[in-house]
Amino acid sequence: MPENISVILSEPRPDDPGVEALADSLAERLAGRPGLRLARVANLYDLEPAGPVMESIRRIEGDLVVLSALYPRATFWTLKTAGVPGCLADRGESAERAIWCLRLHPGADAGEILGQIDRIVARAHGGATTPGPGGQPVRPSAPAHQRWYPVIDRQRCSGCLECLNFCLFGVYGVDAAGGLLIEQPDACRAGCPACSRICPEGAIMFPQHVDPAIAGDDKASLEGLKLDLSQLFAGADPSVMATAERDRALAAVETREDSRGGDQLDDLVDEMDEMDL
Amino acid sequence: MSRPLVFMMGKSPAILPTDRRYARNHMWASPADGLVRVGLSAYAVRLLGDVQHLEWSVEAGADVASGGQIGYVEASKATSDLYSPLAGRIARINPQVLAQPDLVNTNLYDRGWLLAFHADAADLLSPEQYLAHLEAAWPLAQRLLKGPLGRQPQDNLSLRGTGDFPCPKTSP
Repeated sequence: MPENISVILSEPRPDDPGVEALADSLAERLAGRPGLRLARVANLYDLEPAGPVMESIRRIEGDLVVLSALYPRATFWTLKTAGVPGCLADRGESAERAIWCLRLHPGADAGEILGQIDRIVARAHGGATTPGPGGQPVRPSAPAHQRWYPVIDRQRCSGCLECLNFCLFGVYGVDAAGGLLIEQPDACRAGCPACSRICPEGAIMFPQHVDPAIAGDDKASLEGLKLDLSQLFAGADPSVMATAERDRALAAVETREDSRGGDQLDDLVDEMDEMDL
Repeated sequence: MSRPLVFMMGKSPAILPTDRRYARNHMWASPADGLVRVGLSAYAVRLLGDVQHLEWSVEAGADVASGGQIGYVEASKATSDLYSPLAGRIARINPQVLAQPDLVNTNLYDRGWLLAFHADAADLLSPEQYLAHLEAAWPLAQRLLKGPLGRQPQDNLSLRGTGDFPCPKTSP
């Protein structure tokens, strides 16, 4: 009897709107479904590669279905970077086991996703399936930290090392063979996707970025992400540019403090109201 | 002509011929037919990518100030307004580049010239001075490219400050 296919459900982040309910619905409907074994894990992108959850994923044998709010390419390369063996399913013949990455998004239909999973299971088992373990897996607790780091599509990366030279934060390094290494992923500046823009091959993804092309959407084009270099081409003196940058940062801090000040004032007024003076 | 200077943009060399002068706004200027031809430097072209469209907001005969806005460029990686590298009167606009913008990529220091001026280019930077300008501006240029982009993680969730595990190199 063939082994049940493992289905991994990656918890959406709280800031993935509309996906939480979809994940809950899928978890409920996948539990005990024939031919598969469901595991709910914390958000894959936030998992530590050396941690126990990723270790348990690395140990899984046979085809794998991964449900995640990330784009499939980002999910796949997040797993590969963490050392999970396999090839992206539906990308030609490969001797490696297939990893099916299905994306959970607010517009996704639970029934359609279940249908896809059923087809994957049927294809793997030739129709012969065994009942899955009963009971719904417990929803895992969220990791303590939301991470932000680049995920490299190794199929696209040409090893030019432009990212290594461009990054000011020491994220990238080279391995003994001179290949690109994500040496310090968590040294990456939160929210900064700049290296993905300068990558000539479009190989660098930031799976949590709002722009689909940076987040790993195959259908989106980096062409739409054109930078406006007018400031640079106006020939501003570097010190003038630095001053302008500092002033912008300062203004952002002052705006935050202003709004915080308003909150404090509101709180004070509320407290006085409650005192009924 | 003496050997060109080279500014390394990461691993990509930006070649700077030494037979001309340069403006801080990443344009070169070179005398030709009694005029001063100007075009984009290799540094500028590297940042832009493949030039797809050029348009000018000035015409031949117009007097322009140094730094005055004169046009717009759209390329595969970026767009930018274009500014005059020097003060003078525009004598010619290169029609070939308008018809075939990729000349800026394929022949940037010769047939890829943009405009010809009645002007004096003596006040512009020497190749060595321009190279020094690029070296000084590079960290800031990178920061400008990074910009305040993307969705910031939630304020109440701290990000790990350090991380020292080397991710294994994988192959597909």
